[in-house]
Amino acid sequence: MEIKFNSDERKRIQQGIKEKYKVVAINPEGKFSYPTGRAGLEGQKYDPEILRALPEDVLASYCGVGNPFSLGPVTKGEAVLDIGCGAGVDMFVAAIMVGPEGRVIGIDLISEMLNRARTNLEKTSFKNVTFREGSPEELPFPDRIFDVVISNGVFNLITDKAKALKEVFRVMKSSGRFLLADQILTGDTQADSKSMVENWAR
Amino acid sequence: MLNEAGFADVEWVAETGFNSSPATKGVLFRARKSGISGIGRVEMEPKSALSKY
Repeated sequence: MEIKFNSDERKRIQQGIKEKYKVVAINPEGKFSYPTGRAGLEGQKYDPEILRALPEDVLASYCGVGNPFSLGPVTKGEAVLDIGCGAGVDMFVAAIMVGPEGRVIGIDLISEMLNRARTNLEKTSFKNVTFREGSPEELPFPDRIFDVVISNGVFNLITDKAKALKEVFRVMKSSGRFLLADQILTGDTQADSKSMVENWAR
Repeated sequence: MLNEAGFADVEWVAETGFNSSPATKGVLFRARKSGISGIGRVEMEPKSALSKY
C-alpha cells in the first residue's frame, strides 16, 4: 500500500532527501549502515575486472544497496537509463558493458550528486554517458527508447512510486528490462505521517 | 506495484544483505516490459532518439 502525502509533506520529504544526499555527494563513507565505496561494490560482487577499469576515487563515491547487474546481462550497443544515478558509478559500469556504441543516461534530483557524477565522468574516458537533473516521477524522455532501466537504492525515497514505475514502463522499449536494487519495508508501517516525513531519507 | 505499472515477469530475485535499518531489507527485483505492450508500435532507434540527451 502506498502512502499518499500532501504537497507540503512531499516538499519536506524532498528537502530531507536533498539535505542528506548533498552531504553524501562529498563522501558517502559512514552515512549508511552498510559498506560504501569499493567495499560496497566488492560486497555486492560487482565484476572485479570492471572495477579495475575505473578510478579508485570514482569507486569511493558508490553508495548502492545492491548490484543491479547481477540481475542479467547488459549488452553491447544497448541504451541504459539509471534512475537516481547519484555519483554515476553504476552508469560507468553500464558504459563498459554497452561499449562505445551504446548509451547511458542518468537522472537525479540532487544537483550536488550530479556535480559529483560530472566530476567523476571527467576522470574517465567515456563519451557515451550523460546526466540530467529531474524527477523519476516525470522522466524527461520520449516513449520506448531504453533497452534497460537500472536503479539502485532510489525507489524507496520516491513518494509517488506508482507514478515513477509507470514512467519507467513508458520509456522502456517493448522488450526492455528493469533491473532494480532497493530497500523494502519489512516491519509494521503504523508510524504517523509526521514521523514518516521526518524520517523518510534516514 | 510493478505488475500494476504494466510490467511482466516480475521476480523478487534475492536479498542483498545491505539493509538500511532494522525495518528494511535490501532486495533485487527484475521485471520485463511485456512484448505484447509494444505490438503495433514503432520502436525508436536509440542512437537517433537519444542524440539530444
